[in-house]
Amino acid sequence: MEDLDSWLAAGYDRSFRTAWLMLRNRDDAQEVVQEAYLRVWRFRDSIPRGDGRDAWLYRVVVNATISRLRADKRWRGRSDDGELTSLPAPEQDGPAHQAEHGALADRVLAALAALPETLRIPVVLRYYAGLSEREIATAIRRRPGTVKSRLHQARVRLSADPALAAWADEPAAGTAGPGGDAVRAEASTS
Amino acid sequence: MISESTLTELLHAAGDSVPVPADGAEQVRDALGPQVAQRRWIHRPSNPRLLSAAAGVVVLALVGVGIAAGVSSGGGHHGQTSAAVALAPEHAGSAAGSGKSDQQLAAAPTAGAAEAPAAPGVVNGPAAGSGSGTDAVPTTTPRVVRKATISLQAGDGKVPASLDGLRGLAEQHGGYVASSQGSLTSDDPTGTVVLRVPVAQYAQVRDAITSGRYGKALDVSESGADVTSQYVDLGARIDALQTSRQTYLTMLSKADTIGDTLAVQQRLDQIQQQLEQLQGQQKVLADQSDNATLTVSVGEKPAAVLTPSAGRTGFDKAFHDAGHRFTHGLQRTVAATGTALLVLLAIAVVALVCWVAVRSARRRMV
Repeated sequence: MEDLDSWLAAGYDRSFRTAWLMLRNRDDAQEVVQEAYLRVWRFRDSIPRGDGRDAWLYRVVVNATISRLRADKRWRGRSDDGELTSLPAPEQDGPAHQAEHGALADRVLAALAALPETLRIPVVLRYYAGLSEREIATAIRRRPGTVKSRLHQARVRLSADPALAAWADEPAAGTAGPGGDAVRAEASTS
Repeated sequence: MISESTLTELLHAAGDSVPVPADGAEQVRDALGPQVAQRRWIHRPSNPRLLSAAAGVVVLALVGVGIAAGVSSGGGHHGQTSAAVALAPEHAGSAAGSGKSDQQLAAAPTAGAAEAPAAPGVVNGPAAGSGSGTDAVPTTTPRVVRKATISLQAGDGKVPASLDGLRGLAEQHGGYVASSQGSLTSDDPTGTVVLRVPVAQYAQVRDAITSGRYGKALDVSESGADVTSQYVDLGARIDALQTSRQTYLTMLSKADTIGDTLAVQQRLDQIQQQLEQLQGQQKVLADQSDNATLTVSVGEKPAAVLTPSAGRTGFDKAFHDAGHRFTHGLQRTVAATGTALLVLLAIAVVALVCWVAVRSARRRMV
């Protein structure tokens, strides 16, 4: 029990951030992670040994988040293939947070928030959670080809976003962002 | 276009900048404590397992109480022979009055030992709140539905006085007249009264009626049906439903979604309906067993006061009535067709006479 406790505590930050990137809500993310951890506790006899248990924990968190998104869709009556609507602006964490983390995170998060949910979820799962396209297809119950198409569409949209145009190999707007190299270096070191 | 590696770096940079709740891990640690199960269903927006758990609790409660009822019912059967003993005059004078049946019903499942002497059929034992449980042999006071049918032959002109005396007898023993009917102005005055008296007074009232004070007893029939097991079973089922209702009320107070609230409320309504039905049945049984029924017929002539199926119940009464009606129907048929048969017989005789006369005339002509 003590080992389980410390292991879950160590993985809490990454789990919460993944859930937050997908849900864009602090309370929802916190609740989903708690729900996922309770699932882990319930099936603690099934936790794999060794390095694989971190990936297993991560999958449980992702599945719980996907389940929450599906439940939210049922409550709101929204369709996953419906109109591509933008999410609300990201949460404001106050001046102290902005001063601490600089503009990079805010710009990326703003661009991510501008994506519709159908594109944002695969992006988070692929480029932050590290899931393969097939795993994402299984998670969101879509065909791998659909996932591949959505990832491509998301990258096109992010490249077209003025805030991220500086990182595009072939800028959609034809202009590199000022200070792009410095920000790339910041991204690499963070 | 942004490369996948660049996008991965950007997303990690942005994601890692998301502030994590300082007490998030502690909250999860708390949830992993002893109250894991409770927190789980509270936090779920819609949890069918809540109702499954409730159903499980209800089933376990029903099974448990059912076993207890089976034990108690067995005691009731063993006590069947002692039911008549319980109705003996030594119990006369106890306070088991008819007006107490409702209170007995309400108090029956949980009645304390102090009320037991005045409440026949009350289950005494650990579940009835008698206390420690070390002296916990469940005992059940037998509940017997007592009925008697008595035919009296009063003297000439004494039928009205006899009926009045029977009414007074019932009131004197704490009972009442359930119904009364009579034909006192005809040439053959008759009357029938149905008396309800407390079971403890039954023997005294019966003996008083057959003592000759109200007329000569021509026929006395008695019956007793032991309903102890039915009464105890109803009490056990009512207890189980009340336990279930309390469980669902607790769940209702903890339900945090509209779906859970509606589901629990719907189940509560069903339980309440079943509870009221069972309580109604138990109330009827309590009334029937608390008060004995004596049907007394009074007449001047023996034949007039004897009813075809007096004292009979159930199939016995049905077959008896059917036989009586068959015989009565034959009599009426003969009575109705008698004239026609007489006319036909007369016509046949005339025809026979004519036939004989004609035949004799033909022989003479030959």
